[in-house]
Amino acid sequence: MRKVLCTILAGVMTASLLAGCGGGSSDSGNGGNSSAAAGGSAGGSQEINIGINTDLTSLDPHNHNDTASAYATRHIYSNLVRLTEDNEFVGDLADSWEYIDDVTVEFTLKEGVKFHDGSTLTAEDVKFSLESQKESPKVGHLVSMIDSVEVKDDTHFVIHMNEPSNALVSSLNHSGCAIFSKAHVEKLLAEGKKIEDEPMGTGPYKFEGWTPGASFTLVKNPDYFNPERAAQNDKLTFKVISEDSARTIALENGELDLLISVPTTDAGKIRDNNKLALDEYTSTHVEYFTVNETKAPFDNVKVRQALSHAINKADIVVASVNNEGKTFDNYIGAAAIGYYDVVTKYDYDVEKAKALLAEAGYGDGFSFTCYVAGSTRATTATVIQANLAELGITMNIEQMEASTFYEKTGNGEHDACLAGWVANAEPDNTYRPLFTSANSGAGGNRSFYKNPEIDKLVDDAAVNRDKAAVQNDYETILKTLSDEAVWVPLYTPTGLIARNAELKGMTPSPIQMHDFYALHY
Amino acid sequence: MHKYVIKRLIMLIPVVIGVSFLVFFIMSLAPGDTARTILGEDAPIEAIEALNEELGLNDPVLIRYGRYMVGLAHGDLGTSYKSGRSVFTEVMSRFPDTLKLAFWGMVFAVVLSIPIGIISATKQYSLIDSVSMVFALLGVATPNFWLGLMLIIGFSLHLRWFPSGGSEGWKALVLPVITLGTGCMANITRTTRSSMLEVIRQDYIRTAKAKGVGYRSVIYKHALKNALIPVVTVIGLQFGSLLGGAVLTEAVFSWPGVGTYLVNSIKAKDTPAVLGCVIIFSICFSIVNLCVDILYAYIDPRIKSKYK
Repeated sequence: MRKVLCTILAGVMTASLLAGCGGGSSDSGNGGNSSAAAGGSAGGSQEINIGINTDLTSLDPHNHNDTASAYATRHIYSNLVRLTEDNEFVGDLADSWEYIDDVTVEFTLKEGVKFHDGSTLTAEDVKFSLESQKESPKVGHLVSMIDSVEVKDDTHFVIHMNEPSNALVSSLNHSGCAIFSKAHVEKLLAEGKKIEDEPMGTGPYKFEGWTPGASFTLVKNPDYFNPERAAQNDKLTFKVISEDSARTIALENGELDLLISVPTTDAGKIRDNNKLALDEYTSTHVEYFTVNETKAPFDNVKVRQALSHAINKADIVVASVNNEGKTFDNYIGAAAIGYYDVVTKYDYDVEKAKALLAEAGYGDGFSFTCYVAGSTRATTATVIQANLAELGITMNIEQMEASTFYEKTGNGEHDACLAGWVANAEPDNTYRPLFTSANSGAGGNRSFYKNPEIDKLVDDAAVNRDKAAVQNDYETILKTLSDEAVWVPLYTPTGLIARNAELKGMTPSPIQMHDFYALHY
Repeated sequence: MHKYVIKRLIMLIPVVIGVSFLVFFIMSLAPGDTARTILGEDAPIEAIEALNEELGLNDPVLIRYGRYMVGLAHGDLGTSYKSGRSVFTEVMSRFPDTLKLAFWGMVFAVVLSIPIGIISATKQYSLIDSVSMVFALLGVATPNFWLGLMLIIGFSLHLRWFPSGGSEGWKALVLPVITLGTGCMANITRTTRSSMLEVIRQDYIRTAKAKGVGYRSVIYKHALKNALIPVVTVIGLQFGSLLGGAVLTEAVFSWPGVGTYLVNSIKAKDTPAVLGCVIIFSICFSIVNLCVDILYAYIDPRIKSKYK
């Protein structure tokens, strides 16, 4: 009996280990990457290996709101509109659109657009996609202004909004507003499957495979409807490498052709390597220091202005991002729609800061606690701590895990905090959460700044069809925010993309929604 | 013995209940909003509230735990908050890679450490003993991630013998196996040496030698078999920790294992995913320990007699 038991035990262990050894190779879509990578680097293959730092979470555009998943879904699916490099919205699946009135927009679809299965795109597919998106807890809010979609014929449909909104067109560019094939999705659901089980759209790539935690692969769609944006490579393989140094080494030794999220510590090394190239771009990312304005002494504008003069932003850029960034004075990234260079600038001037502090009645300084999450911001905080010490201000730093940080600062438990913001294609998505009274705390306004005038201007800019009036609204907002020193904007990190020097066709997106269709050797 | 095995397998039930209870409540005590973590800093409040509602996170913690346990009793490890996919599918898609790494890491460790341990013990205070003990100390003290990066720089970047990451083919396995196995190897070497030293001083070894039994036979037949009990225990425990503790190695080598998934799930406050990983790990750990206990019986007849 014991011998039998022992034999069975040994058999089970061996079988499980053999299964273990076989498991990795059974996944589709990842075969031969290493050799292909080497070939790619040599200039022969049209398989492009791209290094990213996090895995995708879902292949269903309605079930994610993260960059890595969007790398896949933006290439598999298409949207009605897309954003050009010049920050303009142009038709993608839509041929044109026209505002009938403030709440009604008529769209015309391009003709003859095919899904990957060969079926033709119709207005019914658009209606189905947008209406099912409204039910999504992850991206439904993007189309909350849509009341209904009325199909006129195969290529014409009308969007009825429940209130006027300038955000409609920019939202339609978001990866969450991808257009599905109604027939395909209904078939999947009838079979008890999910959209992400067989992602299928009209994009320049078809989905090939995903090995969770390791990589995902897209292959060229030869029947893509727009020849100008058709894939110039045969295959895109995104490799997930979470460790910074390992990612850079994989690029150096030819396992990768392109690297997103370049560690700033490796930028110099990549620049010095003549086989590699480093593309720099202006992003919409702003890092800032802010105080909780419901607490004294931060309710005093002179104290906030004193802080603005006291912080040496140039030192922060060197210490926090190894000089891979620029000092910044504005409240929205320089590459973002809705950016206007109208803000009041506060130079680094310790004497002026001391004078303002004395005027405010805090000449002897005070002490407070600054909440931070993440090592880069912790470094920033130590520079600020040293700067403020010169004014007799004691800043205690409390470093915490990100979710704790958001909870505590959302509840207003902080005196001050360090945060960052990456603006997307819709300025309302930056101005509203960060500066309106209704979004104080967890909504994004961690300054707890409340100004009814700003609220009114944000509301007007969101619905006013007059572009000049919208610009005026945003300029007034930026001027007011900077006059009142709501934040101390610190710096904007330089966007970095590293690649094999021979690789062509990379045009970085300021909002980090990069397209990879044009990559080729 | 089969009664003993069945009893031990039944004992898995309270282990799973205890583990799930602890993990569930620790996760619920951790600060942070799950929906906010999943949707990101820039998500509007309405979206966060809608997601919390959909995930059932607005219910009291006891109700959520009860719901989870009802599912678990039916063999359902739940659905990941983050990806919306079945946790069982998610974990099982990564588990073969974790098992592969742990197994080969252990093979690497055992194949090298036991002979080195024996030689060190039989030639105590010799040069070879001192050298192997210094290496064992270094092996225990060297951080995984540092060793991994050094191996990548040496063998991947400069020599280009092995890829720097991924899990395709045997070449991708070499560097992570060395990285993961080194710490274990050092532990097993030290245990083998001390256990052998203890055994070879026993009277029965002296008797065997006095009877004129050959040196090899004394060491490998009489001494080693008796010295193996603590070694097997260490191997069992190390294998269990290799399954769950390869997080840093997985991160350095982009190895798509369960460790990385577990850490990402903890960061995302994805309670069902964390629970799923921990439950599967605890079951594996218990089974490995059971296998070790059964192995004792075959190594040491005295233990075997207790099962009768």
